[in-house]
Amino acid sequence: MAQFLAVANRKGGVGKSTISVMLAHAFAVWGGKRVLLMDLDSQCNASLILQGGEGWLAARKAHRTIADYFLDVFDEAAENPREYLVHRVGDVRDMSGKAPALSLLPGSLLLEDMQGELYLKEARQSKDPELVSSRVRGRLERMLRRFEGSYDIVLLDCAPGLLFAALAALKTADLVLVPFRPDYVSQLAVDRVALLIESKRTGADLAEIPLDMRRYACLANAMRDTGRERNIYDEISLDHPMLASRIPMSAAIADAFDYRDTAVTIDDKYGDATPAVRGLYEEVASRLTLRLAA
Amino acid sequence: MTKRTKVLSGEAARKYFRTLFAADPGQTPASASRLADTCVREIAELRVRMPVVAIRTSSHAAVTPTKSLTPPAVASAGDGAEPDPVAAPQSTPAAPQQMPAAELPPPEPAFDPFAFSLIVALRRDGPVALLARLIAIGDVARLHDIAKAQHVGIPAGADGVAAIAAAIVAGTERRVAHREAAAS
Repeated sequence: MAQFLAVANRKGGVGKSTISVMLAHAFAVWGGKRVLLMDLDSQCNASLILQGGEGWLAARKAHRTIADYFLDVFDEAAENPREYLVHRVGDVRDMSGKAPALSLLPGSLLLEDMQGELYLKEARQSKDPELVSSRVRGRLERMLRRFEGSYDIVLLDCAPGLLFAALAALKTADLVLVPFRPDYVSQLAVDRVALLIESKRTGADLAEIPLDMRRYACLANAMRDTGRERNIYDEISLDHPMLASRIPMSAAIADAFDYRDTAVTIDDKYGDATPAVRGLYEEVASRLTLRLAA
Repeated sequence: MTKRTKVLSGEAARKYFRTLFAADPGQTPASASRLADTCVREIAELRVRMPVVAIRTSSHAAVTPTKSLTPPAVASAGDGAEPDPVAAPQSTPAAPQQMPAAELPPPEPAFDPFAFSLIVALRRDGPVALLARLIAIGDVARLHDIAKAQHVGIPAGADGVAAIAAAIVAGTERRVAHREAAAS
């Protein structure tokens, strides 16, 4: 059975998709795992990084994106849900030169519209908005779990808006990673998404859950290691579980997310940022193992 | 015997105190600096015996005082009176001291206004402890640097270490309140 790892934050531009792809590569290549990445963000960055523009366009033309999957399965019109997945994606090869076992459910620009459509469909059954929302989320949760028998790790790259699909992802996940950039507004966004993840209304309610019992962990991304950033890191660590790994602001990381037609090894892909990626992977893998054991 | 003395104040006095305390092997650079700042703050005018010693505190240069070391002068309260040679603490005029380079205090590291997070210190240790920690820094300019770096406002009328430290604590509490409001 798969372990579900959501990558989420209410704030955009903190690196959710890049972290999702990093971990997808790492689990598939270094971990030898069967990995599925579901792109739940209508910006579709993870899909573009893994497929390139042409690959992603092909998925859209074939109506094989996450929006199509949700709509078709919702209507029970999907004959074979596995047809929506693209296998052996990405421009990274393992040590033997083969494409790793990394699959993708490609993102869609229409994902938000689709969720509205699902809501309206469900609303025909009930006038209670809370009940309708709950049903939509529940069905999406079941759809996210559809492939769990076929994969070891399912990564859920969530949209910043946290609509139904992202909320379903937060509910489904065994562990939620919350990347943040060490700045003031990111700090506030972490506080808010933590409440959603733990289903709490206030910071005081959240504080009752010990840090080591929470379902999420924060990850400092694009750190320049200035005094100000270190202070913000410490301030967030007071209230939230924090990964020891930090992803530095790095040209190598920025370059890594260019899709290349010629595949490379994971070390070449991430260059001198490879140790940081490796450290993140090992720490996340360890946390997932601990959560399973708990 | 004619006593030659010189009145020092302002920057000259600051330099004198810094040089004097930095040469004391019992002081760290930080404590020497604090003592110097305290003396400058509390002592309006200083009359020192001539010649005034010049001790280079650079760790790269051997200390070769150009003139004899004179004992610390008794600070005048600014009344210009000559120190009482009987009442004043006496110390034997020492031979010129040469501090081996290895014993010289290391250059003081640049002040880091991010050395600790005000918010973390407030939330972990409480406002009283933070206030004490800020007062111990003992330097108005440094407190302003901390406040500016960590985005804590200080009201225009705050003057002196204690008042500025208290303003920083209050400002930090407001920052915490902003964060809690944003999350609610």
